[in-house]
Amino acid sequence: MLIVFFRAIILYIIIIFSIRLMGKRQLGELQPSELVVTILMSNIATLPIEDINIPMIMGVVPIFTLVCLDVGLSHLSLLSRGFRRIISGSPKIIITDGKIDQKQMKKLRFTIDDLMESLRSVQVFDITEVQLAIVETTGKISVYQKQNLQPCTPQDMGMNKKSKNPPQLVIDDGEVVENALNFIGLNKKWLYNILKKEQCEIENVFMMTADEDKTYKLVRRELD
Amino acid sequence: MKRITLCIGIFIAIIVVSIGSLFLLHKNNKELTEKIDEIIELYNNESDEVSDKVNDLEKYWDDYYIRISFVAQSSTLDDISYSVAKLLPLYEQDSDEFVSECESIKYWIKRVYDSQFPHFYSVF
Repeated sequence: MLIVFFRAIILYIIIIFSIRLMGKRQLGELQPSELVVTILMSNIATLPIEDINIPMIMGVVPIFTLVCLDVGLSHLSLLSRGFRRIISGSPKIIITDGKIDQKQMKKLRFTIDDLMESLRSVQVFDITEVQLAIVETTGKISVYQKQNLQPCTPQDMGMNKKSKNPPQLVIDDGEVVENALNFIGLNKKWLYNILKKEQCEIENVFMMTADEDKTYKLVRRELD
Repeated sequence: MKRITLCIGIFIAIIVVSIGSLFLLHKNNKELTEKIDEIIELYNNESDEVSDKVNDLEKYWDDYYIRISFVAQSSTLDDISYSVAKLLPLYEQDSDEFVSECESIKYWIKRVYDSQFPHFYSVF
């Protein structure tokens, strides 16, 4: 039983390392090749864990081989658009100016229910409101609404607003997040001055956010 | 770029380790086969050295078992271990099965090597 226990720990670490090696893309939307690797990887990993007759290397070698191939293919697809189209396919337009391309939907084996569900998920309940709907290579539908139905923006109203980054978490449970401070162009000196002004020790800060304009929000730790 | 370099490194390491393990398997199998052939020859010549050589073989197999278990299924290796363990009692009983048991060990280790070698039929 201990063998299974140790193998499970080792393979868990290997799989986490493999997923990290595949990169952030893997964690979000799965491309067809990434889906294949993920399914295969989960199956392969269970074999040497369940059956102690199988050497663990028989699980490790295929996992790393698949991950390396996937990273290699992703790299090649970055270099060549043609190769990318072979591996991942290409986005397909299924609605143009409120009109459904039924031929394309048939090709993609997309049902009207799939389409309506995807439209509803982006708050579109009427197909005629859609200017363009595209099925991405991940299977997700991206929707571009007709211009006169899109929400009004400050630019539409002739307002010229300065673009700025959203507030960053600069103290996380009593710990300073230096990267975030650097990102908004502030430093520890400013942070400690604020803490002094607020009469709050850093250990007593549950969270604190700040932005480039030095606007901050401090949440104190609740005492038990 | 770091990621692709690391992956190329891992890929090369896998290929090197796979080919290396195959060579190691071949080399050790050859040594084991030679030892068994020597035992059979000594047995046929009714030499007194047979029991010493069988003990040597047992020790050699114990060491080899650990190395080979990294690549081969343990159920196959257990069959070989069972045959190796039977050799000395068979010899002491002057059993006719002694030589056939030696031959069966040779056959099993050849099977282990064949199962690891990427023949066309084993790949597909």
